Amino acid sequence: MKKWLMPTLVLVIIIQLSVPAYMIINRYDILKTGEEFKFRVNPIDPYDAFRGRYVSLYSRQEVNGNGKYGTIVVDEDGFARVGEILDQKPDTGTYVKSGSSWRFSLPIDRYYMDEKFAPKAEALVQSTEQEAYVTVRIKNGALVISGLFLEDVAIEEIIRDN
Amino acid sequence: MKKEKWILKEIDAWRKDLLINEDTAAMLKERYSPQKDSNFSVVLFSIVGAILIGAGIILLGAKNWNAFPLAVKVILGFLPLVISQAFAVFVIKFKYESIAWRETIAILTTASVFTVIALVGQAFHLSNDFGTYVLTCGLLSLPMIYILDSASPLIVYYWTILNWAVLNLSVVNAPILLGLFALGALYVFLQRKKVTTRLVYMMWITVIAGFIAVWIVGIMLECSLLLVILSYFVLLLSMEELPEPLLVPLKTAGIIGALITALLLTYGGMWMDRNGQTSVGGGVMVGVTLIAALFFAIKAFRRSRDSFNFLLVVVLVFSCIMRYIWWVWYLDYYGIIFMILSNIILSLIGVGFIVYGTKNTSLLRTNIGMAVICMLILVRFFDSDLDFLLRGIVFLLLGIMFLLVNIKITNKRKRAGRKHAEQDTDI
Repeated sequence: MKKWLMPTLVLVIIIQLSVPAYMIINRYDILKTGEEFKFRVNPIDPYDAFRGRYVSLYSRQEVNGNGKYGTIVVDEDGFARVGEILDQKPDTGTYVKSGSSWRFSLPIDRYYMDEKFAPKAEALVQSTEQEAYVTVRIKNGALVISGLFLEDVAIEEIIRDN
Repeated sequence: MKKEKWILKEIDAWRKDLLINEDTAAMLKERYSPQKDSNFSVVLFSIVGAILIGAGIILLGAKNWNAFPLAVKVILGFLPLVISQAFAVFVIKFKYESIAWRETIAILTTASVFTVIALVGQAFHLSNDFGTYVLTCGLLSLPMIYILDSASPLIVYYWTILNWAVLNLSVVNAPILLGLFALGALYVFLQRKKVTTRLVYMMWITVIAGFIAVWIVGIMLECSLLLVILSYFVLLLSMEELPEPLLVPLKTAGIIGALITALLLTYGGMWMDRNGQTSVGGGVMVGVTLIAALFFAIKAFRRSRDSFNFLLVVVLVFSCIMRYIWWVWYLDYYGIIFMILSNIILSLIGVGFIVYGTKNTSLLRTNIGMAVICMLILVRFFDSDLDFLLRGIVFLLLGIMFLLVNIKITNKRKRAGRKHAEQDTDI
């Protein structure tokens, strides 16, 4: 056996564990300490072979522009929307980094759910007039979705009750 | 003493006595190593089993266990990775000689990496970026190929980088893709002295992955795709510094690919309607590839004096240069000249194969040459408005020529065989 194998394996193990660990810590910190916003969305139910079933989310606001950052503006009704689209980080206020490198896109497009819950969630939203929205936490331009709601009640709760 | 141990001892002795060189000793040792899993089916079924278990782990992770709190989900996500890593340590310590163990654990670790990264995306509802997801998993799994000396995760690695590249087509990503491909291909190159069936398969996969990578790079750099692909095949053809079994995938893909591409270049339509910008990156890539091909071809010629392969590479390099000139200077107006030259070049290649094959009684080369000439005539028939009777006669003649040449070469071989047998009897 070559001498370098074991130290290299240990190093690789550390890297393999650190990458997902860093991703978790980073997102968890945003969930705990980030600023909270609500975005109106339209959900439908697709599938990802690796990450499971999810509710695909489409922001109701049409955002057009070619910048890396979008400022966040909160309207009088309490819902957030993208204000300006910029190439540079804004000096003040909350902003979000684009989810795409081609053009600006709000990185809100997936809400993962139980495989049985996701189709029900879509059917529920389609059958009612109630407004769907997601709550997100934003910190330093990074955004993490914390919940999907229908008229202020978590979607999981509604499906469980039904 | 077991016979395997005895032969290994003997190989060391032969090497010390300079009866064989280092490379041959390494190859013989690999072949007669007692620890080697000689049973191919054991290795194959271990890999299949590991793939199924890995897929099962990924699907279990994709289930999305809503009832579990985040902390439990995270622990469950990390569990397969930690277990497979522990097994990797075990394999290095105690089972490194077993190919089945190495391949199985490498596949399981790869699947576990996919699972844990997917779980993070799922738990935090991360935005869709499939390209980055697969590339992250591919890069995290790559070291296992080298550490566990396992070939099967290499296929997964190539799949991840090509997927990422297709989803992220941009000029900046072209050199990155080539670099990522080189990281995988390096494994096959480093293993070249231990020629095994497994390595030959890996070479085939590397050649195919390389072709797709070069194609994608051509699109990224907005270069003439035929030019980029032809230069890749020329490079494959020029490589000679590898053991014979590893050259088979290079030569087979190189000859078939180069001839098909050269045939496509004989169409008039290929030299018309030059679109798009001239990208410097594309020119640099083709230039470097062709210089490398010429370098390898000259080196091989100096060593073996095999003029056929050298001339084939030179002619194809000329074909690439011709295409490059047309592409850089937008020479659509002179398209007909390039088309005629391409037809002449392919005819010369075909005749060259026939002459070389007949001289060396090589049926394969002779038939390749005749197939080239026939294909050339066939495609020209589709180009022009010739009478069906004439086409029919020409094809009959070509068919008869094929049969006669094959019969002649077979007879020549038989005569040579008989002569050898007679000489042996005389002695």
